[in-house]
This record gives sequence, structure tokens and C-alpha cells, in this order.
Amino acid sequence: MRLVISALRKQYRNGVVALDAVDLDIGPGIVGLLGPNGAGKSTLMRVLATITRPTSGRITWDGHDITHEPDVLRTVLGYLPQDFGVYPHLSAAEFLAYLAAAKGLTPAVARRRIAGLLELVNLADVGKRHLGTFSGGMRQRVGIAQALLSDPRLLIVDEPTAGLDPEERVRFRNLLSELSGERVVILSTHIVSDVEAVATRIAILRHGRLVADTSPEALLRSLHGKVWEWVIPSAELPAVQQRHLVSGTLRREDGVHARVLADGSPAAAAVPLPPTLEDAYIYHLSRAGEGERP
Amino acid sequence: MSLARVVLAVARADARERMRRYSFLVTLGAAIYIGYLVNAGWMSLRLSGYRGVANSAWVGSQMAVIISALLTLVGFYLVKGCIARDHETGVGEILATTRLSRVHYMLGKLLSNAAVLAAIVVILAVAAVVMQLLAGETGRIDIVALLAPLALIALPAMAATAALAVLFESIRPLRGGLGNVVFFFAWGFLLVLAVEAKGVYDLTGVSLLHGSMLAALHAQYPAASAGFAIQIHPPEQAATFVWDGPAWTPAVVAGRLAWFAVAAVLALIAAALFDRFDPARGGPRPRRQGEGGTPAATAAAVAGTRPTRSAALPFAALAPPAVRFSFVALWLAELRLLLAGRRVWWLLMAGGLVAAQLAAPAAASLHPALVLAWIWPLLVWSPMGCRPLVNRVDQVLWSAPAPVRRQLPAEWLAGAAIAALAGSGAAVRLLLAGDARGIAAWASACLLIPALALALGTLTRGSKTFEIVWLVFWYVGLLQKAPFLDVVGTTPMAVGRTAPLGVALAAVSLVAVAALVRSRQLRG
Repeated sequence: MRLVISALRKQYRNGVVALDAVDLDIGPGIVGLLGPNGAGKSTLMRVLATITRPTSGRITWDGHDITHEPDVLRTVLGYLPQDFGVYPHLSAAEFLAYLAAAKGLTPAVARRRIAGLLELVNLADVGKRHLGTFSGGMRQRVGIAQALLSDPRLLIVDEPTAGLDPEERVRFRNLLSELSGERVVILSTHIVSDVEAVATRIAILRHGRLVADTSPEALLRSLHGKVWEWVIPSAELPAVQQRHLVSGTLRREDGVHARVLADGSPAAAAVPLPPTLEDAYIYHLSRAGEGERP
Repeated sequence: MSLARVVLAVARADARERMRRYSFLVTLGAAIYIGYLVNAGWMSLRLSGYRGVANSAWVGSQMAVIISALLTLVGFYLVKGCIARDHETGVGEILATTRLSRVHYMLGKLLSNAAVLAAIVVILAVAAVVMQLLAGETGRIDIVALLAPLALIALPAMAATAALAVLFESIRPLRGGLGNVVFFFAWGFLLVLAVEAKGVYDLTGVSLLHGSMLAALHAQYPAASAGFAIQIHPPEQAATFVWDGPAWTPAVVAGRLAWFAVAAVLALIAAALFDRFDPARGGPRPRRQGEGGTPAATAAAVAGTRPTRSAALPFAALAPPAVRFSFVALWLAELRLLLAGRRVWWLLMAGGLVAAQLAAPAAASLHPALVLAWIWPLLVWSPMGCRPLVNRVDQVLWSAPAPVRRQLPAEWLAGAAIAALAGSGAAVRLLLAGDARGIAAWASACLLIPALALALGTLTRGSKTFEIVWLVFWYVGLLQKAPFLDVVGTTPMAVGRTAPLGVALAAVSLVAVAALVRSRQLRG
């Protein structure tokens, strides 16, 4: 199981370059794809899911070029798009049965699979209700179930936890962890805590280019000695934000506890802190914006 | 902000959104083409085979009649959908949180609809000027005589059409395909009224011109009959008569201008009926992620879920499914999808139409029952080809293996099964009668109808075009028995009987077009 992306570029008809020179070599495990809005994450997901063709570059799945042989990938693919809909007059079970038929599951196999998946996403009791009556979070769980219909070897999930309540979010993270062993899982999100919880590898996109591709540990190590806590009066915060990269603030009785990302101590009173992935994400995005690449 | 400024702001935003779409360019292109057809003589007004000398009054009135008669139908479908778009994009919910009143909103939408239709009238007015210059039958252009029919006949008709579109959109059952069907028949009624009712009750204004033209014709050709028709035919010579236009008396002008007031009143009625984007009142669901159904329905659904149990069922407990594609399974799934949401009364009616075909006392009464049976599933067929895009299931569905090779044929044949089921009574009768040509016509029509839906749905990414095209096809071909469109084979000369293989080939070609378009959509 290997997904190899080489020199991938996607330029839309209006001239916008959504992806440029993206290279990734992905084996089993969970790749967390991070990036700000408009970074090209969803375009990359759609290209990998064979929905959109790349302008140039090559993507192979176990050696097969998926641009020319998309069905090789589609037979092993589970895909949860960021923005997807449902047929409102079908029940969850009927909708999944329809997609199961499109994916090549026989009715008997599909019935058993759907019952299990509805149980898995905690929708067994409402499986016969029309999707038109479902809340956003419930629809998202139906989306998760459809992505798992054919026991995919490659699972691509784009902003999967959007609309889920905290309990369901934890449940989904656990599910992803469980799935990752023998599968390639690509999790695209801008919620760093989701990636922090499950990813074995992190890729950061900015303006369509890959600005980081490493393990969470290496990403954290790269920030060692660069995160500082600096307690300042509230009035000074705007000035500090002007001069330094601030990844977070916390108001306390003694003033504002600013989390400053800097190569050296920003002030004598600043104390070093252990970095988090969110610090690393913000730091690398900022550095990439200055024309640097880690 | 004053009423006028608010209304203008709503209208301006809506008109900009529409006029910047590619489809608007296509619309303008179609208007220019109609102008060309009229100028070249392919589309013309005839009174019992006579035509007026191409002076300003005749040229302007001819164009006004064509606009009034045809654009009241096409224009309605063209502009209907501006409120639905606000529902679907979610913009409506944002507007609902402002102080914008229903009256402001509806008047704005009316103005926007009217602006789009007026743009077409302007193009055709320019075409009328060009036509008179090209014809060269009279020495000068009388701009008042040329434009008065367009301003007083065509524009009020367009205003009322624009208002009817917002009215239909504000009445929940008429928002979708059912409204399109209802309007088609209502429009037919309007045309009858135009001929029969005369005077101020005639929205199209055609009767006003007809009376005056007829008087001029009879003065010059006393033996001429009272025929009046828009002729779509290769250009041909016709005897001419001189007509200098109707008498634009204050009463006539006031009667026509009253239609603008009627349009405003229709918009006010629409405002009263409008749900102001309240999902609890059953509007279409916004297309954004994270939105639920109606609050009550969602609450009921959520109430049915159990408390979350973390990792209640591990994924590993699910047996990996064997994947073995079955076309029959997919076809059945498509069939279920087509019929999803149909009420019992709908099925009963469909069954009743099959029974009527079986019980028809003679072959002559068999076809009317079949013709009715094949308009009944119009709204079942119309989402074909566009449903995945409309419901945003496209990414999920098209990431399944061979989406074009598998899903499209399955969808087509599911639609064909609906046609076959709806017309099954006729099939039994034709078989029993040993009418081989009749059966061939029946079978080829079963393939053609869903193929047309699939092709138009895929091409236009919406259901409206098929609804209109099939209604016109059905009316002209099946009901009026025009041989070249009569795929059912009502008469011996019908294309369904003379060339059933050609009809079937046309069906296959339409599916091929759908497959090509879908392949392009897949390539992004």
C-alpha cells in the first residue's frame, strides 16, 4: 500500500494555481494534512479521490497511475468530502445501500455492512428515518459510514469532524486510530487538535505548496527553545503582537500571558515553554510566508 | 432607507448575480437568434396567410406578439428560481435576520425578474428596427409606432410573467417541478383567454392587435377569414395588406399599463405567502454543510438516537465486505431512488392510469390513457442526470469505481423501467392485439424519455429544462399528434411507428451525450 505523489500541480481554468510542486510518499498510517483556508487541501483531496484531474504531475497507488487508471484506486477508496449532501427522501440505510451498490457490494453483503456501520456511527436507531430530518452532525456521521462501506485501503477524510459534537469527535478520532494500522489514511483539517490526537505524520500546505512534511515529534523538536511565555500588561499586547509572532494569549490577574514564538527570548522576563503542534503549525506557516521553508 | 432604495438594492444584487452567469449570455444569444428568425422570415405573424406591409407598426407589433405569446412561457421558466437560489445558497437566512420586509424583498425580486425579461425585449426591439431597415418596404421608421407595441404589449406581459414567477416561488407546492407543470397548462389557458376574452383581461395583449389588424385586412380583402397565427416556417411570399397600428387611446394604454399594477399586486400576494426563509415553514434546505432539516423534524430524529457510547462497536468487529459489482443491484438502487418520496396517492394514480390502459374499450381510447400515463412520472424523470449535483452527492458517488460506465446506464434503465411500468397496461393490450409496430413504438419511447431526461439533466445540471422540453414534446407530439414528435405511435404516420429503431438510436445517442458530459464533469 503506497500512495506516491510527484510534482503535482493543479491550475484552474481561471488561472488560480491551487497546488504546485507537491511531492508526498505515503504508506500505512495517518497523514494529517494541515493548512489555512484556501491552502489547497480540499483540491488535493479531490485530486487524490479521482474527482479532479491534476494539471500535471503523477499520482500512483501501488505503482498504478491513478490519472489513467482511476478505478484501481476507486475500488479501495473511502472518501468523505468536506462538503457533501444526501438524498433527503432516503433513509440513512437506503442511502448507504444505494452507495454500496455503486461501490460494488451485493445487496446481502451491503445489508450486513450497513447495519454494522450504523451501529458504529451511533445511528442504528435512526437508520430508517429520512435524511431530510437529520441534523448536520448526524449527516456527517452518515458521511463517515459511507466512506467505510467497502472497507477501504485508502481513506481520505476532508474536515471530518466539522459539525460533530465533542463526544462524537472523540469517537471519530478513536475510530481513525483503530483504522490506521493497515490503511493509508489522509486526514485534512485546519483543526490542529484533531491531527495532534491521531496523526503519525504531518504535512502542511500553504498557497498550494508543501511547507512541511514530517512526523509530529520532529515538528515539535523543530520548535524546541522557540516558544516563550511572556506576561505583559494588557495595554502592551498590540505592540507585542506587532513585533512578535503570538500563537495564543491568556488573560490572568497578573496580566496577559502571551505565547510568543521566536528564535530567541523576546524579553528578559519571558520563560521557555514546551511547544505544541499548534505552535509548530503557526510558526511554520509564518516562516513559509516569509519565503522560508523548514 | 426608503422603500425604493431597498427594493432597488435587492433587485440590483439579484440581477447582477444572474446577468454575470454564463446562462444569461446564452439567453441573450437565444434572443438574438429569435430576432434573426423573425428578420429572415422563419418566424412571422400571419392573418389567414396574409401579412402586413413591413412598416413600423407592423414590424413592432409582430415582434410584440411573438414576445407576448412565447416569452410569457419561456420567460417564466427563465426567471423562476431567484428565491430558490437564496434558499439554497443560504443568503436568504442572512437576509431574514435583517430588517428587510417581505414586501421589499418580493418587489425587489419582481424588479430583477422584470429586468432580465426587459433585456430580452430590448434586444428584440433592436432586431425590429433592423428588420424594418432590411425589409425596405416603407420609406421611414416611425419610432413611436415601432416601439409602442413593445412598450405597451410586450413589457406589461413580461412584468406580469415576472410577477407570476415570484408568486409561484412563494407558494411551497408550486416552487419545484409541480409549479412548472401547472404553469405550462395555465399558460395554455392564458392563450385561449387571449383569443376569447379580449380587452383588459388579455394579459398577452394579442387580442388588441388582432382586432385592429383584422379590421384593416377585411377593409382590403373582404373575403379573408379571421385566422391569426405565429408561423414558424421557411420564408415564403405572402399577400400583404397595409396596417398602421392600433388606436392607442387613453383607455387602451391605461388597460395595458394596468398590468404593471397587477404585477405589483401579485408580488404583494407573494409577499404575504412567503415564508421569509423560515425552515420551520418548510422551505428547501440550504446547501451549506452543517444545516439540518426543519427544527421539529431534526429534534424528532435526534430524540431517536441513543446516548453516545464511546467505541460501542469496534470497526474490527465488522467483517470486511466482499466487493463484487452487480449491475442489477445498482439498477434496483437507482429505481428505488427515482421512486423515493412518492406518496401513496401518486402511486395509486399511476396504478389507475395502468388500469385505464388495460380497460380502454378500444384501441382509439388506449392511446389517450398511455399519453396521460407518460406525463404523470414527469417529476420522477426530471431529476435524472442532475440529482448527484443538486444534492451534492457527486463527490461521494463519482469516487466509486466506473461511475460513468455503471451508474449512468443503471439510471437510464431505471427511468426506462418507470416508463415501462407506467405504460404497462398499453403494452399488454398491444401484445394481445399483435400490434408489432405499436410495441416497437412503445419500447423505443420507454428508452427515449429517460434518455432525454438524463441528457438534459447532465447538460444543464438541473431538472427544469427536461420538465419544459418534455411538456412541449408531450403536448405537441403525443397530445396534438405531430407525426415527427409522436414517439408513442398514435397515428400510422407517427415517428414511433415508422422509425422505432431511429427513436431507439436517438435514445442511445442521448445517453452517449450524457456519458460524454459526465466524463467531462469527472475530469473537473
